[in-house]
Amino acid sequence: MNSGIGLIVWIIAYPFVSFSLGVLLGGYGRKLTARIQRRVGPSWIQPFFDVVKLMSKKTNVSHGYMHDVAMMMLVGGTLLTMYFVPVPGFHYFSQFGDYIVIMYILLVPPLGMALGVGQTANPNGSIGIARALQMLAGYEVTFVLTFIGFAMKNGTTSMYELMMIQQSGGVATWGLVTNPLLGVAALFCLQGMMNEKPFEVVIAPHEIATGPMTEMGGKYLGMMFIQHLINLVVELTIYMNLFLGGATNWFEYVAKLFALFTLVMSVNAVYGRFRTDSALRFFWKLPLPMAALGVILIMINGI
Amino acid sequence: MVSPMLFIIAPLAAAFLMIFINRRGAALALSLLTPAGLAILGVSWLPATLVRAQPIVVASIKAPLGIPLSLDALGAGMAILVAVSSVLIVLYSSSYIHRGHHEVRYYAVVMILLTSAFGLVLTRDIFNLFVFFEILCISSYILVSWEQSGAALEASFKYMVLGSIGSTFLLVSIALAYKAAGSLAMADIAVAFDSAPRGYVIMAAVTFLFGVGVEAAIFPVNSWLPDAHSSAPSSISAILSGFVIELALVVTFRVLNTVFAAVDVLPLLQIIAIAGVLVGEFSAFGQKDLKRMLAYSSISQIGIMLFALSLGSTAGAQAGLSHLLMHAGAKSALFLIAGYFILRTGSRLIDDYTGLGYRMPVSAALFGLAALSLVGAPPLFGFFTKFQILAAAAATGGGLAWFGIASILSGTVLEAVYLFRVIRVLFAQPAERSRVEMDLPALVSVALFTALVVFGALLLPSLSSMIGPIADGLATLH
Amino acid sequence: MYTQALLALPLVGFVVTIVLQGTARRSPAILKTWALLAFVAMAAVATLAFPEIGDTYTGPMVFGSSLSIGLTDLSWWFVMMIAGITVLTSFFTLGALRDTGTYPMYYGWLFLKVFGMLGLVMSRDLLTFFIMWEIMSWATYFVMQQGKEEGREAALGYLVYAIVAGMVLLGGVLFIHQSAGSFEFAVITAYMAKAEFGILLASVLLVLVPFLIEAAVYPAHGWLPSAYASSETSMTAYLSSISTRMGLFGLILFVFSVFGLKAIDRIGISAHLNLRTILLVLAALTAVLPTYTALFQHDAKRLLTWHSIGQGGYMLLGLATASTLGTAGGLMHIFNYMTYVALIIFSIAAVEYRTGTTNLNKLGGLIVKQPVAFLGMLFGIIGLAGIPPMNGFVSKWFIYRSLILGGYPFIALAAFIATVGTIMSVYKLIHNTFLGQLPERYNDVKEVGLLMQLPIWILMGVVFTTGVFPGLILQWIAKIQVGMGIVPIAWTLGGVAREAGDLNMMVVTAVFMATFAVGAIIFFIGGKRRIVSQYDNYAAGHFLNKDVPYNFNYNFYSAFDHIFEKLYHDAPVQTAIRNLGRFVRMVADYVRRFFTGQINTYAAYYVAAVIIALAILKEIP
Repeated sequence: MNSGIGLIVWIIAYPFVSFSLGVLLGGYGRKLTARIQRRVGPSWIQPFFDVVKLMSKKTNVSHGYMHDVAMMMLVGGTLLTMYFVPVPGFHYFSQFGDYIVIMYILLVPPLGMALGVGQTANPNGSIGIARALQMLAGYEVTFVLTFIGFAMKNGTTSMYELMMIQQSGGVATWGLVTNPLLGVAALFCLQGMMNEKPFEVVIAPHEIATGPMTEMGGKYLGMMFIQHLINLVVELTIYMNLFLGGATNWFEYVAKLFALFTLVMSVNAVYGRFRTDSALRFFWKLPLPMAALGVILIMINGI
Repeated sequence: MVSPMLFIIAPLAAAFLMIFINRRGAALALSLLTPAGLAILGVSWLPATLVRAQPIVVASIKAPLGIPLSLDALGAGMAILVAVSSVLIVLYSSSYIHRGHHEVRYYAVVMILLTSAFGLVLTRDIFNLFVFFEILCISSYILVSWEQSGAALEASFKYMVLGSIGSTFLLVSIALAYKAAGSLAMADIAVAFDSAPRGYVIMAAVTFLFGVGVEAAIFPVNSWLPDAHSSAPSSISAILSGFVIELALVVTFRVLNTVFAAVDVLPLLQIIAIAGVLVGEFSAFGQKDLKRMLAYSSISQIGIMLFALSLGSTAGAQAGLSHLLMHAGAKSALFLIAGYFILRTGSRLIDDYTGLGYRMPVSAALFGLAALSLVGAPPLFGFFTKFQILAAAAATGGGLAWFGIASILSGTVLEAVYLFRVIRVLFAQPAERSRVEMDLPALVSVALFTALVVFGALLLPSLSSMIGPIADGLATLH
Repeated sequence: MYTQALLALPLVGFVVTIVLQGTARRSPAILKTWALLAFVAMAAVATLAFPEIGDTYTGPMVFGSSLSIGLTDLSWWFVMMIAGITVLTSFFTLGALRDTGTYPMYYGWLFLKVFGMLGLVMSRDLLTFFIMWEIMSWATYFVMQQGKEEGREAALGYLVYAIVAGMVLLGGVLFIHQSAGSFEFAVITAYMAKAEFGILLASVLLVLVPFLIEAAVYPAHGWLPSAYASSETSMTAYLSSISTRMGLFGLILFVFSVFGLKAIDRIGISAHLNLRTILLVLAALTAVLPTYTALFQHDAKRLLTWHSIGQGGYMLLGLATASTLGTAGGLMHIFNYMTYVALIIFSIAAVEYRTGTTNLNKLGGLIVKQPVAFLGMLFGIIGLAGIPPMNGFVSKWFIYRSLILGGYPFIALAAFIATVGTIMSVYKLIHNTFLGQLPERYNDVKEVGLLMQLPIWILMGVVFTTGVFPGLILQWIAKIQVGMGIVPIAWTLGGVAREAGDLNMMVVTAVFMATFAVGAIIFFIGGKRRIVSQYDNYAAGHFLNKDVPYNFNYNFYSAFDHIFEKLYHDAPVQTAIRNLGRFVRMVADYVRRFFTGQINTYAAYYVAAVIIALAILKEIP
């Protein structure tokens, strides 16, 4: 399905697929949190209703062209990442960009958001962005180290090839099993990448009025929601591909997706929020040394 | 051809003549024309001396009774340098030395100083050397104290005391030499020292070194220099730093290298040279007084030249002499320009020259060029001479030579920093922009000196055919 | 023939500028036009000189060997970069340089510096190389003098480093000449291939240390920020983009060609622990520490000069791996950095031209007033942060891949840490300049004129085009790599061929454009938008007006500040170097006291000198 008509169908259909998955994941996450907190919770597809509602608002307040373009960058950048992350049956774009490319295009949506928020001229927004960028030095750095170690061990930087190597021997060759230190460290980072508690400093509704979203309303907020939902799928898939052997078919894929998300949301539901510097210190004290140790072990084995 | 005896006779005669006439114009004309004529004389003798040294017969009395004088290529070269420099410096003095203040005597003393300078390079008699040395010293004392200010008088007094100690040492050395050889001719002494007891020769050599070395500003007997060179009128500083100490250095080295050849003084000289480089550069580093800074710089430059000469190789000697030529141009130019800086601002402190570069753009630019050359920035002359010295040292090899290279290189760092600090102050934000450029004669003189250090590298190919015989003069006595 | 003309042109320019400098005050257009024409002619001659690659031309004999110049693939590439950025800078100054009267020699020193740089990259023997190196250093000092008062003081700091570098290099030149017996590169290469280890080590160190100083590699980077940041802004762009890279040029030339990689790799104990490992570690430190220092700057120019150091670290990282991918990345990054840093600083200059300041705490919201400058800076910072599709990403991709696959995980991590720091600081840069609230005093600010816009547009085009079609640059780099003795990179127009990795920027960009279009469609599906005033903003019920500053730009990264404050303010390396300077001054002061001014001590020196001299002479046989 990586050529011809099949490919074109995939390219056109895939955004809708991952958006639907995102809606389901989002709804599931909210439901799960509600149940943990002994609430009933909203509908399973509540995120879809939210998006429709926001997109059809009449009042759309803009602060200028960069604000508008930022929204396009935000959604466009996330879709871009989505295409380059291989999923069962669709890895056509892997040959044009390896994980290093993904690592960098993952930065496009935050940059777009940062520029747009910057133009909204709201201090709460700017503080949120400043926090988001500082948090990169915590989770993103650690996550990249786990990738570096894993890629070095396997001699490739291509995400598709890394996935294939893991699938060669069943569970025993999963990244999490062969390199548990890296896998666990990356799991911490996943929490940060998804902006969930305890690393939720960027949004922090009670401190900075939802940070970047402060000046977003109507279709602007709607597009941020769309981006958020697709992003859920993309980020979970990245972790899955690097440490859980990816997936060979869609049942496995969806199952792993939900399982991983359950873990993330459970942690989210029971934790409070770290301060930015505490969150950074946490990443530098636990996951980063853990990943470093994992890499050193790989180097020792290599010799 | 005209006899080289004129080198000694002409300036002396000119000096007495101008005292006798006692007119500014005549004095100026005489002191310009005499060295100019001598420069031509030197050039006319140069081709012959390049082939072999020309002995001079004085009053038809032949050796051993006569006074042995000889003009070799080195002597001719030095004579030309001294003569040309004096013409330019006298030209500068014509506008720099303010009128009325016993001006004629000033030129007369300069002429007497020239007499002794020429005498030093011509003489082949160790007692004559002492006589010329004394004349040189005494005329220097007078010129240093020319401005009659407290500082100048003090500097001159110190210079005199220390110079006298030097003379005493020199006399001791001469006495030792006379006892050994029974003659005062250098050639005889050299022969006698070959068979004299080693300790005896060492004693004579050391007393000679620190005797004549006083005038050559050899470390550590150069302590008079910072005071004297900075307190003298700038034209005199240019004479003293520009060719007097170099000339004395060449004479000292030549006599040590030929007459006292029985002992190997070269390692000692290298050590002294390196110490001089370091002490000079470090002392200049924190100076706030421009002329004092330049004076310390002269100490280190003398160290560099001595280092090159005392490498003992032909390449080293040639490089040292090239550097001497460069230093004569650069240091004269720097002192002469500094003279006008002082004249225009009334201060010797560098901090008072803020923005002066906008008021005296040409002078400041020439100052910058001369400083760059002194530091050794390519493509100026200074780079090539310094490179030659370092290359010669590298070719010699050995720990001391490489230590010398390292010292010169690190000294250069300091030198560049302090000289550039001056340039930076000159071109700092200007307070006012009214032009106060140097007077024309001074400007011409300085420009010619600077031209030498800027385009000197172009001379190198033509110099290369002459430098061989000239450098030979350091190793042989003809 | 064009080769010699190329070198002669800037020298002619220098002389003519000296003659013309009297016109600087009354009719600055004369000098500006002359400089632009001369530089355009130079660029043209440089292009024409292309067929002469490989030829060597000898000049006058000095010290028994003749000075020689000639073009190689490497030097032609550098020549083109120098020519290109010089033309752009001089074009930019047509509009940007208002104080020609104050800086009559602005172009003069620029000419001399270009002469030095061109001569350096074209030199074909050690002596020419050194002479040109020195000319370039002096000229750079004078170039830096063409700016504000504080810049002139900072330039002295540069000078100290430059002279130390120059003198160490001179020592190296002498040592190599003495050992190998020649200034010629070929002879030196042959000699070094089988030289004694000690001689090799000494030669390599004496030559590499000056290059590392000139390339502002940690810990010898301290001279750069002040010296560059306080120059005239167009000159900051010029210096940042090309000047520092001359050190890297020397490094490439000597490591790969003159000494040869084989000889260099003899210095070390194993394939992973050798001189190149030290270089890698230094490069990693250079990439990380200055980048995070940039985070704390509140002057736009100063912030970028710290990146000039940090990005130099990336280049060195790539080069020090000595692999096909790494050197390709390092070489390409030199070009890429040149383009986008010039772009960013030109944009800053455009802002400074209108507002008169580069202080990040005072600017803000200028996007509505100066959209072109904003766009220029946006393109530039995307490149600087290394985000696709700008060219900065491609070179970083090479560097990362070479580090990961070459087995340097922690160096690669350091590179990424630096990237994060870069993103943070460039966002602060663009946010505090163009985004956020527009201060009332800038209400009348206008976009700069076409003359200043044009270089910005051109550079935007270059940054984007070479990002999408990196093959345009890689084709030259492959040629250079052959000359360096490295397997050339297998390039395609959009990136690299399959065997070298997975990268095709054309596809990445095409997909990005398509997805961006999707984003745009979604955006336009939504209802009509309404642009509101900047005071129409959420303020927790407080009323906003022009008297209430409502902006977040002071102490932007407070968490980092909180964590690293002490380290940043202590600046151990700078303190150590300052102490060294203090020590030298102290020594100088003590030495100066040797001249006491007392005749009695002086007399004692005489006696001591005689005694010591006698003692020494007695010992010498």
